[in-house]
Amino acid sequence: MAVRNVIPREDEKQTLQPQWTAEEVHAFSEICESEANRPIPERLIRALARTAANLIEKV
Amino acid sequence: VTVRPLRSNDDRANFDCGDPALNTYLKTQASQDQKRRCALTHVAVLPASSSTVVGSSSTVVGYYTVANTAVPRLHVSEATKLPMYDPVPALLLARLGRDVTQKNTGLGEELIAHAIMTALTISGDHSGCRFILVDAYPHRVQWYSEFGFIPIPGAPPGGNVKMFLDLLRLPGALFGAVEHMRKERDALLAKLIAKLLLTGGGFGPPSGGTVA
Repeated sequence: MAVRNVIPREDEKQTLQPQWTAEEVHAFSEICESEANRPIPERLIRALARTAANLIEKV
Repeated sequence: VTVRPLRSNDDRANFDCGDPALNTYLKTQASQDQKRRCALTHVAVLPASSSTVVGSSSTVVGYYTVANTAVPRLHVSEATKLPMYDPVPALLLARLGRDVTQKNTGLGEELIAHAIMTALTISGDHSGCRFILVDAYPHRVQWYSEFGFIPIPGAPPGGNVKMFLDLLRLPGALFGAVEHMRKERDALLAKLIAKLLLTGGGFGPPSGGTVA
């Protein structure tokens, strides 16, 4: 019985997880804390409030 | 529009968000990833019309896909408010698209808000999750920025831009809302289970499975 080779070639591989460059890792380490207190945009607050209200209504 | 997990009979044949890769993913890969527990796709479906037969398919007009991920860090030190871990657990917003027919309806905004609520539910109720990470197309960076995502410099030229949202930046009231939903849902589930048990409703093992 033939066994199908299911190992994809490098160029056939699909990625779900992003690949990180060294620069990105370094940059994230630098900014993740300095940005911790940045205010959340009003647009997001409104969108989340609407979504939360809808979800609570459906519970 | 209702947002819920993808079902196998959802109608995706005519879905078109204008991006072939996102269209193809929804039509050919999303169900497979879901069955294999690699990623979960939430879809926005139109409300069923009064003539819709119960159990018939729903038309998908938008979706997002999430998976667990981890964010690598350098410089882990005690002087930081961040956890001492490298990497830090996060939720990956792997795909997000809405049908072109839904342009200017606010559906994209609703989908991203729903994804963030999903992350809040996970972090408050199920598992560790500090950030939401998205690997954004360069032309979508501005849109994600409007929802508080912060771009991470260092992407290859022309490549996608990683962006993150720290869940701890969100107002505590949102965590309270999630907690409220959890309690309501738990109470509802407890009533349902009690009713099923009292009426002899069977809880068999999953198909092919056994009860330990």
